[in-house]
Amino acid sequence: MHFGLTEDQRAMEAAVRQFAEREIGPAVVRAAAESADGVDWTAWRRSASLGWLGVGAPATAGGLALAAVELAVVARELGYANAPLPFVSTAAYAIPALGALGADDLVARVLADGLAVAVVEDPEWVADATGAGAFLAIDGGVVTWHERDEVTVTPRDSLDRTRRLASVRLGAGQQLGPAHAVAPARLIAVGALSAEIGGGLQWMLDRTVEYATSRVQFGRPIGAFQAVKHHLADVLIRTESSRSIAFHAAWAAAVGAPDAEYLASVAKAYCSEAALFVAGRSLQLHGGVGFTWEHDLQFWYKRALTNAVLLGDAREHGLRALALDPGIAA
Amino acid sequence: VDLRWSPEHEAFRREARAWLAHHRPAWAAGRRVDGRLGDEDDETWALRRDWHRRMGEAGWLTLRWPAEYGGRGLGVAADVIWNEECARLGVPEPVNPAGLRLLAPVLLRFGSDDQRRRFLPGIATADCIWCQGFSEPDAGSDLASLRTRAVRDGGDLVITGRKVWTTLAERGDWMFALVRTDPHALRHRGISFVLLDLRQPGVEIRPIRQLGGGHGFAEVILDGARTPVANVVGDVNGGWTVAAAALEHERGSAGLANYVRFRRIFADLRQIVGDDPGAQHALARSLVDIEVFRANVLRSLSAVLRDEPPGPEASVTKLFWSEWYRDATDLALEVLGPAGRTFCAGERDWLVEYLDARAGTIYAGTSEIQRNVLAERVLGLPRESG
Repeated sequence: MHFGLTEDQRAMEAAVRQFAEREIGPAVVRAAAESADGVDWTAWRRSASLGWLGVGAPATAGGLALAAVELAVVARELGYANAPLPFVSTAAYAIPALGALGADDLVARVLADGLAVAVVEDPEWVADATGAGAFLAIDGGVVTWHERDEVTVTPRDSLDRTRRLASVRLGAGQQLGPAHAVAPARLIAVGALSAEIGGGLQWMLDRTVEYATSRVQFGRPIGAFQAVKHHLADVLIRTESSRSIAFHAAWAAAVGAPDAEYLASVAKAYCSEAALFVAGRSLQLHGGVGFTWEHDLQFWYKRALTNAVLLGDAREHGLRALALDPGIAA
Repeated sequence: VDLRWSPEHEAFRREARAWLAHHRPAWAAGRRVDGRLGDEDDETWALRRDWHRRMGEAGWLTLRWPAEYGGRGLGVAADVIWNEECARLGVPEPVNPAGLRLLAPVLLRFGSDDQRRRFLPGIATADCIWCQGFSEPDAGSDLASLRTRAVRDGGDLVITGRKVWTTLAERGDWMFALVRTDPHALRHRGISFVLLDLRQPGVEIRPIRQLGGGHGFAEVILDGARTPVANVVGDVNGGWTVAAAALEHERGSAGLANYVRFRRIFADLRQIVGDDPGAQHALARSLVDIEVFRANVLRSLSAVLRDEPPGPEASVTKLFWSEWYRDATDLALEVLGPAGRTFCAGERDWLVEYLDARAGTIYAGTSEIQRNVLAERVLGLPRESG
């Protein structure tokens, strides 16, 4: 019975955090938001060369052959930094899916070239498509691979400028296998996205506590007032709980637990709702300054709102959890 | 992350399960046995007390006590697993919870050898029912402002004041109480933790009828009640530390059992909600929240098992379960309509549960106090007061 991370996982967590602090500060996020495709390609190439894209790839394709928990660790840290990187779609969804289909050659290419891969479930609403070098489409029972030049991408005017949505028109593509084969990969992606949300919530909590401690009104830091404290206590509960359930779901996916799909839906349902809650309270507690373009909160706020609806929103996953409810956990 | 129990723990679970399967009381079938103590009739009380004795004599209630006091010297995991198995089988809970969960750990840590030998056996067998005497009419959330006085008279302390919200006072034999022994010391510093016999002339029990009609609480008037100075636990004027340690000891041991209870409530809730399309999302949220509660409990438990300091998740638990229970019973009454405005006999009376849930966000630290604690002690925001 051990909920904590192993020593290796903790080392990985520290390495990603250090990388993010050094190379993805708020200025990098802001620059990416104003760039053509919303991605910071320098940081992306660096994270590819550090091996994190291959965390969930089979060793036969040059990956680290690790699993859902490690991906959640990396995703959480990148979420804390609001990294303008398509990590979850590429590393936690496309690569595990390709691995499950035995497409080692494509995995090797993604890793070697640092290819950003967008996963297409609904062609009308595709995240990370604007910067993608290739597309993995899971549609109509079949999984297909599409090179960039075979796809028409129409960017949408997206709220989150570092994780933009687009509609895509795909060609025939290369058939890789049946869609059911990549179902376990989707659980890994849902767990990692939940972890990324949790990281972003932690950043918003930390910054809002700082603000409430330093902003003085009526002669006291506003954090001394109960109305503010109680908002922050509720934010803390959502933030900590998001961490707990995301890692729980990731672990279940990693060991192939029978309730892994159920727990993935529980995690995404909870984290999606928590995202809206924490983003909303953080904005409220920052007062007018949080509503400005100049303030960094906007990036985490917008990412939270966007992540809440990617790979299924709270309502969809909540109903899915009801349908899958396995009863009292052993 | 690895949420499986060790083979030793699984072996202990099998032992507990086997004993419970063989000894579980038949009379408990079809009755609500996890409700508030003190509301039951005399016959049920006698049956519950006997069941407590049987568990106590078999050693299940003293798993963490050292062998010299009749325990098995096991760790917190044993309590966790035992409580969880009891919840799974739905067997009645012990009738001496204040004694088992609060007083026994205090005696083992702060008590004299004489105090341990006199008081521990009666806790395990329920021969001596203990009441908690902390809250007062004017000291609720602000417990350190308590005013019940204890004045020395020869070898005795003479105690005057009022204690309130006392569970099981009418059936209780003894009380452990926080009393002010130094009226000149500041707040927390002048308080002692004393044990006193409730069956004496200076003690008057006034039952308090609750919102739902039950009599589980009482006010205890202490008017010259006496207890020997030897019944102070820990240092005179050091009672605040003793009480705080008592609350700490319980960390982690009931969480999984509560998860099992919530799952059972949820199963019944799902049945009455049925396919009601307007209630499916609220039902889903209820389910999701139980599983998140479990994840938090496992995380907290994992830290306890490793002797790590309590993380923020431990402080979250009380708010989480009390508000989950409130929301679940809200939903039940929402879908029941007029039927939810009447009491019904049986295993699950939603109206009783609904009213019980209103108490859950008040006792053992109100939701407002819990939020202050999280904001001040975990997030480090400026203190509101003392």
